[in-house]
Amino acid sequence: MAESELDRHERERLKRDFLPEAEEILDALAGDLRGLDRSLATERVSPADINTIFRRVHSLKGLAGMAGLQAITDLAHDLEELLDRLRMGRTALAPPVLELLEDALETLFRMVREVAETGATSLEASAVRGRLRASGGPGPCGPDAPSLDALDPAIRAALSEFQEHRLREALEQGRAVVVIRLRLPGEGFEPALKEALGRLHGEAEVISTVPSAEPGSEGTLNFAILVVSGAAGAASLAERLRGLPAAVEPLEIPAPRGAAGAAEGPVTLEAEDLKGFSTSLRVPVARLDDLLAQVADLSIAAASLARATARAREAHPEERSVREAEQGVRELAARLRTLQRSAVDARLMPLEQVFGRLGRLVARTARASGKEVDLHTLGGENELDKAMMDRLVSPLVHLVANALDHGVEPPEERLAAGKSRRGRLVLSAFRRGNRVVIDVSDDGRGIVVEAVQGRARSSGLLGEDRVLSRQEAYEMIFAAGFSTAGRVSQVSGRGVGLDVVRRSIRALKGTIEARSVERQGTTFTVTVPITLALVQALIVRSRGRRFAIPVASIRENLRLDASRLRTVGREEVYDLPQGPLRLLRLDAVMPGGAPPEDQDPPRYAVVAGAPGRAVGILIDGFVGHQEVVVKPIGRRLRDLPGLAGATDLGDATAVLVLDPEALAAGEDDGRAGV
Amino acid sequence: MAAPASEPDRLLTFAIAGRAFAVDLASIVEVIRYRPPTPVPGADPGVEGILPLRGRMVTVIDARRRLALPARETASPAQVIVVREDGELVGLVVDAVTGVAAAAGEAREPLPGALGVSRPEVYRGVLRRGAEYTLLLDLEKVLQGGAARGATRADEGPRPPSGGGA
Repeated sequence: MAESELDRHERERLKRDFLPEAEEILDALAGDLRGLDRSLATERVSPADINTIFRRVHSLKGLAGMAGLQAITDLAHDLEELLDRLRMGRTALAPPVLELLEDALETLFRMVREVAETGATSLEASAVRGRLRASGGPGPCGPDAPSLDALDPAIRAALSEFQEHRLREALEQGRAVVVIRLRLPGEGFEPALKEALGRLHGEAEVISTVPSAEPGSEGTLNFAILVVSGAAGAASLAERLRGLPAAVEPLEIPAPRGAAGAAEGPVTLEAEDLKGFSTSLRVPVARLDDLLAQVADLSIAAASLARATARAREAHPEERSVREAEQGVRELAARLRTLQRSAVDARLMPLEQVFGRLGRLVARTARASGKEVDLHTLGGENELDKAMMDRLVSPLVHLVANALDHGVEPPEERLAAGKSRRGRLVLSAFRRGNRVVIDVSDDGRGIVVEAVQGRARSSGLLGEDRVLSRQEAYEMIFAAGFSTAGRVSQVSGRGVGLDVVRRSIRALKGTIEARSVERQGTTFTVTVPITLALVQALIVRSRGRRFAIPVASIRENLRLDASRLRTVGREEVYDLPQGPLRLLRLDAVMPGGAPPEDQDPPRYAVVAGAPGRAVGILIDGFVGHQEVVVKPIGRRLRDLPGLAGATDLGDATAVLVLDPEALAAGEDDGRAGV
Repeated sequence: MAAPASEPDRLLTFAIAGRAFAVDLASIVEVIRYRPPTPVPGADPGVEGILPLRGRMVTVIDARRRLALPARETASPAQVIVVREDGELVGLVVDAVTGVAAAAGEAREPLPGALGVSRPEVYRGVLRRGAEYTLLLDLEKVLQGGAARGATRADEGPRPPSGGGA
């Protein structure tokens, strides 16, 4: 029982300390290898790039070492050795080596994922490690590595492989290694130890602190602090530690190597490296959620305060203190709005992260299917809410895999078609208002309308005599049952599970559209809101109820002219110069309002939905316009299409937030493809 | 999951339709005064709607419906027992919270058939003090709704138009 408690604790710690950073490093590495792949194709491999990769792997190794994940440390170590040889020019970078690097990275990804899931690694990675070691050059302990024999065996025994390596590295760079022995009272030794380490900070790099209890010294604890000193030597360290019960012993280890290593620019570990390479702070997302909820709560409290002061001013219009209070409350509300926006912004992350992961997929999938593809990314600096990002990965993976499987042709086919041998896949993102638009484009075969038509007919989605327009064909590929009906790669070249992709994008209040030029390529355009948490909304009234409608989804607001309202079949439409607009009664989709007070025709409509599929949502009137925090409604209620969530406008009642695009699309879905 | 053998030690007691009920205190976040929630179309019967509470939304469930008791009179006061359930907040509407009781010293007994409750599966038994019974509710089951009810879930999708104009 106690042990499992401990295990859980350990897992939590790993999750917190190790996983986020490891993931970041691996993602960055994936991007680096992609770059290497590209430069290898043009035969321009820069040693600086390999150096960057080397340093990242080194950081990962250190991280894994600290987390006690031996298998990852070992693999990273072997990988690092290979990179070192590449960096020193002792091994040439050739495609098989790159593949080996990718395999090693993939194995690391797997190991880290296993750590995330189980808290440990069971993978040994011996095959990859074997290949890494066999790839030429000396093994981990090369013949000319500096000997650590001069080191006190008791200290040496306590060093991890990583620490030993660090030590060797320092020695190779000709830096001084010093052992500081501290003799401290057994009880309450911590302050003095802390003090000593604190004084060393910045002056020397602490490799390890090894405690020992020597016989005959009851009541005291000895510590050996193994440090690599910077510019300052042992004397200066002794000076720093003056007043502490410390003895400073420089370690005499003959430098085994000539200056060869140093001349080629070895990686040096300076204080900069030890700081960690990120200036950001990792915060659990749940904490940001709480923060946002608390800020929203505060805004609501401020709103009711504002109402109270407004009433007070009405009652005492002459009272100066009341006017001042009102002014103060107004300023408070404005600052709270800024705070709220900051709380939302804190959840945003650059898309680069997802793009990097997709890059990893591209390299591997392309190779597996015998294709050659370059991935280009643009606009990775655009930001998205963390929750949105997480849920966007899987649809994007789907689109990228789809482009590789069915879009990009094999090299020979491309050459025969007069295209470049290597295919081109572009992921680009840009911001449009409070939405982000992500394009996944390939320069492959494109969508062949006749092929889509044939497939739709044979899977019963289309009548035998129906002919699809180009636009209809691009819609058809998203229809459920279109792609799952069988293999489509030879037919349309498109469409595995695109209905699933569309559904997940819609769940994110986003849209996806395809466009294509036959034989030249296809582009999927995904548009999602930056965040689902805070949106500009129009507050409207319908049958005694209020609804919030995100402004981003509204195309226009109409004041209706009763003479242009008509009924076509069972549908109400409104005649606009550009054609009739389908109307939707909120009552019909959101039943439960008060009975109408009069039989007057509806006076306003909010127009939403894509061009050609727009609908006008009938409302009784406009209440206001404000930024709202969209809260999820519980899982008992969230399945209703057209509902984005709920919000509190400050009067302690919930107001439903509509998703007009889903309302418009929902109306449309029934007739798609008929 | 907690071992079934462990007895709840502290209970929140409340009244609905003149009867005494109790639930385990541990899962309760707070008790708030009832205000009319915003109805959500397409919800299960028994789900009254949603109420905002400190920046979050509480799904409000009518205990009377879930226990097959007669509906509350519209204007009568009520309270909402707010519970955390898988990270979401769920509120159970009761007539009045009466207090906190310790379960120790009180005998927990199986539900006597003579009580004639409509949905015996949502009870964990009764606590008896002299001639008085307090019905011990299995909160999770009450909130989940009945199995029979699950089958008649409101089907998704928009309702037919309610015939406004013409």
